[in-house]
Amino acid sequence: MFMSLLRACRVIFVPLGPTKEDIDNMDKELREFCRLFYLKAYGNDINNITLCRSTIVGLLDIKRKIMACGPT
Amino acid sequence: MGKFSSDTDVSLSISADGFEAWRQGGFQGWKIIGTILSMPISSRFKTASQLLLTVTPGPREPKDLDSFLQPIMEELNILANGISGLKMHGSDAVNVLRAFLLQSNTDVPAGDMLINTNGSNGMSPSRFHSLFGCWSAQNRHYYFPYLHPVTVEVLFTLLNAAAELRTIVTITAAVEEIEESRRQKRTKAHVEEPCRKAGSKGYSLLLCPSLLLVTSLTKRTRCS
Repeated sequence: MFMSLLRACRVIFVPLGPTKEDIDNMDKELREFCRLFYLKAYGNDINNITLCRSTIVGLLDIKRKIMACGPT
Repeated sequence: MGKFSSDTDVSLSISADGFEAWRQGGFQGWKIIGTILSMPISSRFKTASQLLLTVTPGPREPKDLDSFLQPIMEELNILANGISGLKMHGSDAVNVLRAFLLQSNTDVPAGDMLINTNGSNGMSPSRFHSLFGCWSAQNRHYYFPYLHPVTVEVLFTLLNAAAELRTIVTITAAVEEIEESRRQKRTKAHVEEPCRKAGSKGYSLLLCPSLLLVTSLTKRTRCS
């Protein structure tokens, strides 16, 4: 789970700026992280619902936010 | 970046944030600062290059930030339409200077205030996806599980990037619904319902301006 996040962060912080392929890959990794987070951490258990903060679901918007800032 | 057609087109950025002038919290104002992005990075962020556009008078944060933004937007409209008469060194040609607001830099709460949204604690916090949170009465907070814990309903898609994207058309429609309830002088509870669903508090100069205001700004720009 955390390896997906790690791989996504490697793409985000590349020194020369990411390419479109890099951003697509980062988005895939972040979606995979979210999928595994909801599967393993949340587990559809109401007792774990406090883990589901907006910061987790906000990861899904990172690609759109980068694309909104840069050339399209 | 391919956004501008001429060398005399300038890109601008605005930054907004609140500040407390004294530690005891006696005065809280908001400053809006313009930065010319067309300048070299080495000098772009120096104090001399920053344009202080406005400071709100306090003593607390402004209730309606848009009222302070409106004169700035009027001037930005004039700049975007172009100011002729610019002469450049080494050339006799008269150029038109245009300046465009490209981005706004804020922290998260200031950004929410700038575009008049409910923020990350609201029911619908995302500007890009139409996703809705579950209200936890115990914690008095919205949470965002992938599956609803009781009904097991899928609340948003994780793997399809293009699904349920919010566009400016859908955001405008939602904001119009809010403003329509206000125009009809509905009860506060009735107005708050579409506000929660849209994640917005109403018209915003930067995200979703009122069409009447846009028309009025355009007319004033043409007159000047």
